[in-house]
Amino acid sequence: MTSTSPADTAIQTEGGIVTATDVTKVYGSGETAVRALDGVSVSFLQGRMTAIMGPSGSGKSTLMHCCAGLDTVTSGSIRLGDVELADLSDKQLTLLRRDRIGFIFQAFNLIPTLTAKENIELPLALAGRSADKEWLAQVVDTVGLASRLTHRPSELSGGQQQRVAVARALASKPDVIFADEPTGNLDSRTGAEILQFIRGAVKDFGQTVIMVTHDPVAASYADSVMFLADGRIVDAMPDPTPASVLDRIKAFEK
Amino acid sequence: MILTLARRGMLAHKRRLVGLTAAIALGVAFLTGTLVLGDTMRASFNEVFATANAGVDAVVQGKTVTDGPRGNEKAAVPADFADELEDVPGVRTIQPTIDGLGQIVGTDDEPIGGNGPPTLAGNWIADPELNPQRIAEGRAPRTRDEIVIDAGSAETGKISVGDRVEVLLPEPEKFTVTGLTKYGEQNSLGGTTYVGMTYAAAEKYLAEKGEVSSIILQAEEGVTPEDLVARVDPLLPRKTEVITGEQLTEQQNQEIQGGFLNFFTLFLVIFAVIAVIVSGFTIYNTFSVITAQKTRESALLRAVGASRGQVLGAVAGESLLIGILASVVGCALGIGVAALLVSLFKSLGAVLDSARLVIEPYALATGFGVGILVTLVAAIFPALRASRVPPLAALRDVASEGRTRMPVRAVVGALLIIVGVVTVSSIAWRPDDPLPRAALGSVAVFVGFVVFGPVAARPTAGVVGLPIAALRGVSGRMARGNAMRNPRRTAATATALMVGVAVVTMFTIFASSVKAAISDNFVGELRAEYVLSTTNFSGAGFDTAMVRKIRSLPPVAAVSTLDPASAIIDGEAQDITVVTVPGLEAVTGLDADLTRDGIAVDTEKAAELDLRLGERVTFEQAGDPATVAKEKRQAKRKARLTATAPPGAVPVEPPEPEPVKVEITALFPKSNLVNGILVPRSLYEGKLDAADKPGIYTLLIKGPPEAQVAAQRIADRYKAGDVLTREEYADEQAGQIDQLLGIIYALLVLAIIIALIGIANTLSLSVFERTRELGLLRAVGQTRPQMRSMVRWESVIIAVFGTIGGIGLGVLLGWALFSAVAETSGLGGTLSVPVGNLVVIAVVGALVGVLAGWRPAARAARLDILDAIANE
Repeated sequence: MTSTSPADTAIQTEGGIVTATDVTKVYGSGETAVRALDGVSVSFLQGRMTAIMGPSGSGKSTLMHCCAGLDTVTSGSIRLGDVELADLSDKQLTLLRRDRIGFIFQAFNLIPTLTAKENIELPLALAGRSADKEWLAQVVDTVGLASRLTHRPSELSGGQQQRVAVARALASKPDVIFADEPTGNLDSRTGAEILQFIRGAVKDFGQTVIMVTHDPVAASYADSVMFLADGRIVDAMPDPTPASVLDRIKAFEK
Repeated sequence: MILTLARRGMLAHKRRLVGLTAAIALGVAFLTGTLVLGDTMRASFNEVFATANAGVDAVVQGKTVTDGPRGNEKAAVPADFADELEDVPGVRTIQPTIDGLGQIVGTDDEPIGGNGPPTLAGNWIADPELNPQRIAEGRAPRTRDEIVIDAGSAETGKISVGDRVEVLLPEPEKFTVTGLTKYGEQNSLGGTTYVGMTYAAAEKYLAEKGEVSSIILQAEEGVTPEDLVARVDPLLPRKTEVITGEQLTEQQNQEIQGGFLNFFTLFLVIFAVIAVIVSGFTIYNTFSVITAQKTRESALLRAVGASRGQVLGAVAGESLLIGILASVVGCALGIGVAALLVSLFKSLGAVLDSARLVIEPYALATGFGVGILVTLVAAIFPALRASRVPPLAALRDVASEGRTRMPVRAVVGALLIIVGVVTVSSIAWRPDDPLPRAALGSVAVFVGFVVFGPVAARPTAGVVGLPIAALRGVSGRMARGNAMRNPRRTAATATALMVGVAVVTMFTIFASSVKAAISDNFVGELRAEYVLSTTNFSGAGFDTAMVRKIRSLPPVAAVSTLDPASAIIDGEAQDITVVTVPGLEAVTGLDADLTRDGIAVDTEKAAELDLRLGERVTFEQAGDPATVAKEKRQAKRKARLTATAPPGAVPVEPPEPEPVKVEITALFPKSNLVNGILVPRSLYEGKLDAADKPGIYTLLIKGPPEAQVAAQRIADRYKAGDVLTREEYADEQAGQIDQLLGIIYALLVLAIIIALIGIANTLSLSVFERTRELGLLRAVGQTRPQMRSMVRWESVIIAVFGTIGGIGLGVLLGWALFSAVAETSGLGGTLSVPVGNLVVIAVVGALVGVLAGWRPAARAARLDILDAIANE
């Protein structure tokens, strides 16, 4: 808000629950080195849903992986709340993910040998924590899975599987949920349903969600959209609609 | 093109290649190594005999009589035949030999040797052409109380030249050691001990009066050994033969090969075959998993125009390359194994120091052929199965896991097991000729278990996994789920271990049952409280004077001897027990009114041979050929005699004496203590034509505890060992069985290792297959230790499943083996299942799981999360 340049108007760089500061990520070395992230500074606000968009190779997935503690940064800092991720060991990162972060992936979200219920409780079980029964019931009810809890993933439709994944992400009341193309494998109607659930979690429970997507419709469910290109944040848009997002993308492609 | 695919396929997965190669190579190495070891030992023995007989042109020896408890026994040669031989033209040297047994007592008062290799004694032959031994220190014996002994015994017993030592012949006699002998550079041969004495002393101590063991002949210049044999042959006394030195070497080779060496090699080959079978299952499973994973690749090949044959060809080519590689490695390893074993045997003195490894082409060809064949067969079946999937279905189908027609499997497997069990059960109610049924039943049960495996895999893994899931939380739950998700793979993975464990269990059960039967027979049926049994069964047995002295001890109530032997009764070889009549009933409780001049037969045997009380049967020790052959020989001899004899001479034909006939004077109820036919020692020793003095090996003593003390005092004087209570004796016998079991366990370790490699292989492949799933787990917060624990517990569940199957199968196989052996050997007894040992086996099986899961678990934990979950 301090800057007057149009591209910077909506880019929050501090004050959020997840804050990346001057993050670079370089794969490889020497001549074959690739700069996936090139000085990214961004802060994601608590209780909001933020979409990250950008063409293939723009670094959006890398940014998400780094913020989620799945990957390490080459330089710069990533903080979750007041925890500096760069200072954590692999073990500490694992525990951080388990206890404070939720994930929804595009595909292969569930463990095939576990039932829906067991999948939902997986992060809690891994932590050896007992589930908050009431909360769990509420989550299950919200995503409409009560009757499918004892089924295995192979007995569920794609949409149902993603709903289980959403429930799992919510179950441990994480500080932030990272969703990586959560509707990429679904038809548009089922995808809309899933996005409604995610949106609902933000609205009703104050859940923080960071979602990587290339689908303008999906992005329109977010409170704001960040645009990445060539490893930099090039723009931000509050209150997106499918049309406005599409227009912006078209503008980039020119 | 197809070969290029095959080669690339092989090189693309080096890790997998290592596991596969190791499994095949270990089996091949064991097989090749065993064969090379056998050939090397054979060559070594051949060298020993050839050297020993180098100067022998011909030898007159007794014909082989029965297979006694100490192997082949030969009839004696009348000593005065040597005089007759002096008249045969062309004979240069006549050297009678007397061979017997004598155990040297060391300066520490302990008898030397006797735990296997024989304790030999004989007349010292000075002629180095006729004797492979030489005197390394001192001089040859000159008087009746001088002897030479082998340098090995001298070392063991701390005996030096000039010492007075005792030799058990079996009566203890004192001699002065005048020299030490060596076999070439070797102190002794194969663990045997040797006492050489003068001819007069040997005649006195080792032979029946007027008998020698053999007469060695050397021919004059220009007379061939064959000529010599032809000239001596017509003059031969009854039950003797003359052969050339070369034939003698051949005969000795065959004796050792027909006996100990073949048994030894066969014993090892059996375990090599078990190892090969286990490695066969191991690689079959690995190929199954690989093929399943490659189904889509193969489908793509098919879609772009490869024929089914070409796709199969690629698989066959790849497995052929792996088979060749593994077999080459295996053969090389096998030679290394053999070299190791040979050097071990050299240090034990069982193989000549000078022996070189004998690597026959057939041994390498066998190992090589078996390795390649097993690999090809293991690879081609999964490939055939995969090639039946239509290409487009395979391309569309994401799940590469195979489906099984479980009901068919369940029915066929269960039927096979039932048929096998019924077949083996039939031995109980129709005991004759049980071996084929035991073998057939075992095969049916084995195949049944393999077929049934996948049906049992899911429920069994579920049950086994329950406590793990309960105790290990979510890692345990997921381990259980993973073990259950593909029952076919779980079963195939476990099969290799199942086979190994089954064999271990089978021998454990068999040994425990045999021990229980022996103990029952002795402790349950024997009335004598004490047993004095020689540890030197290849020796001469107990001194009869000692037996007399023990019998006449005041506290001793009764004494009898029980010694298994064999004889030919009415022309058929039979196992007999030689007993002393007085005291027999008191000592054994046998209700046999045995008299000294007749034999007793148990009712079962009598029925089998159709013998009646009072009937007279022929009784021979000599294994003379049938009468027909005898007549032929006589005719031939006559013809030759008339041809060589001067005209007018009447050939003198010694009459063939009639075989001895004895009366069956008693029938008795069958007892597991003795064989079916009892022969009094007096009859056996006196009336019958025994080759050498039949030894007394086991003495049963009835009396109060004072009798034990008194008998021990006498036994000590004769260095006869310890007078044991019957319980101690049964334990000692059991101890010997445990020793054998120990060796068998050691041999089976290899099979277990191969099974372990198999589980590790499959798990690695499964980990690879589940990369994304594992990545997801890590992403949502599974720690590396949790990941390791999960994979390891899956391995444990699979291993325990295999172990349970193996124990079940092993119990059935052990039951089959014991039923057959108990029936054929007359051991009797019932199956004894040692629960404690089986628990130990189960724990070891689970440990195999932990070990097998180690590396796959580590690999899974090292997995890069981003690689695993990347969408592209």
